[in-house]
Amino acid sequence: MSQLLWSSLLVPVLCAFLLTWIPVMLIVERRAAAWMQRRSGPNRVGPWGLMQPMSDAIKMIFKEANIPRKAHRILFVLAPALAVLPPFLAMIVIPLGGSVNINGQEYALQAFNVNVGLLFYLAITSLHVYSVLTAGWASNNKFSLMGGLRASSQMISYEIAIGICIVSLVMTYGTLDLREIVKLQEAGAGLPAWGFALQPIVFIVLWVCTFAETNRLPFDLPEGESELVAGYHTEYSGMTFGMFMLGEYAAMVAASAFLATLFLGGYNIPFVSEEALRQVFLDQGLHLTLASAATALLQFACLILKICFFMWVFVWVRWTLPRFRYDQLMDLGWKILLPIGVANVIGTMIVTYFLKRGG
Amino acid sequence: MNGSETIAPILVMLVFASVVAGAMLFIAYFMGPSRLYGPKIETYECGMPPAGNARDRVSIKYYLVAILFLLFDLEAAFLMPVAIAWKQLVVVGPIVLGLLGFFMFFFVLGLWYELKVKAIEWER
Repeated sequence: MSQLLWSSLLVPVLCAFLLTWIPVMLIVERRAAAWMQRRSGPNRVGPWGLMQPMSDAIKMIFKEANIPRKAHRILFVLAPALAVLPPFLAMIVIPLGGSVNINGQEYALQAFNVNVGLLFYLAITSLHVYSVLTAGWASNNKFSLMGGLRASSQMISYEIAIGICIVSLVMTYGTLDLREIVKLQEAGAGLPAWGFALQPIVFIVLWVCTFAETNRLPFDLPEGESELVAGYHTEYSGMTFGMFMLGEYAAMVAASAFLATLFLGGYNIPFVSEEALRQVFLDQGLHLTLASAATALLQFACLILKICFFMWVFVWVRWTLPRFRYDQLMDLGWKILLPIGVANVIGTMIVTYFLKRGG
Repeated sequence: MNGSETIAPILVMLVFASVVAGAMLFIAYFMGPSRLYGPKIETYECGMPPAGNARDRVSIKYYLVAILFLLFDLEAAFLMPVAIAWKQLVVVGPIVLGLLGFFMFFFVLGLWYELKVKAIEWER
């Protein structure tokens, strides 16, 4: 089996993985919101309201998709599709688990094993701006246009902070290969080797920026319903609106996986190295292929747990913090996060220099 | 591995994601009812008859943010190769620290100037 065929086989799995998160997050978000506000939440459809996302989807499918008379028809239809594509593309560089040994050859559990994975992820996720701006402009609605403009200027502002933070992170790791980064975090086989211990400031800043990049509260200015009706998707109805929601949740999953990969050791299981775990399965009398597959699956499960943690924080923060005012948002991005990032680059530069020269 | 093989996973994923997006667009526009007429397809402005066109001039601030984004993102992109090679570069000696310090000095100078002229103040 060629490496190419293996990657191609992983792609549909990845698609299914991303799509599975959407209904789960829908119900989690609504029940968590209700729980935090002492309401019951959706609890009528199916046991404990678990079928609620299903009924939401069916309702969306059979709703009328509106195209306003004054809208730019082609761009208006295209914008929701542009919202769905980037998170799917960004996910392919995330290492999902260790490697599987088939006929003596190691196949990495990563759809696109490339040595510039970090830059690829940043490049693809920044394409999300286009969908928001296209939707805002094509609707020919003042609310939509304001939402689109706000969203684009917010997203590009926070992208600078992300870019600068990634620089100091790369200085620490010395590579752009996400798989290499995960392997480096395995070295200590424990918590201290994880990225957030090496670059705690970058972790915090990047985490904050992730909220802004995915347009989640407290940074959901683009769709601030108290001022802009629904922002850039005011004119969208039915499934087209659903696609924006899908894109947002998929972007959250991709961002969570990215953060987990960089700072929480990716697929690494705490205190257990890949070789040790594989050896445990081999000692049980399993074939090498099965043992490596079991190891990789366990690591994948560990990555899912880490993604769950970040996703939960997304929901938690949404129902805890109030929305920023627009000038506060810009101030936070340009006057706080960016200077912190620059200072961190200079600090990392000097510390790494003297650590290397001294040791 | 030649070039086309290297980027193949991207293309495969692009096809898959496009199929997902395309199917959803198809569902959106062909599964539901489609009786679009009259006020239903007017621009939504909270129930009032829509006034004027949205394709108006927008605040110059947004352009300024975009230009500043280009500058600072470019600087971050310039730093990226240095960052990757930093652990190998440090053995060269203090000259490396000086050169990168020189670059960072102008970076900080630019940032300081941008904040000083209040380029991103939104109150005014």
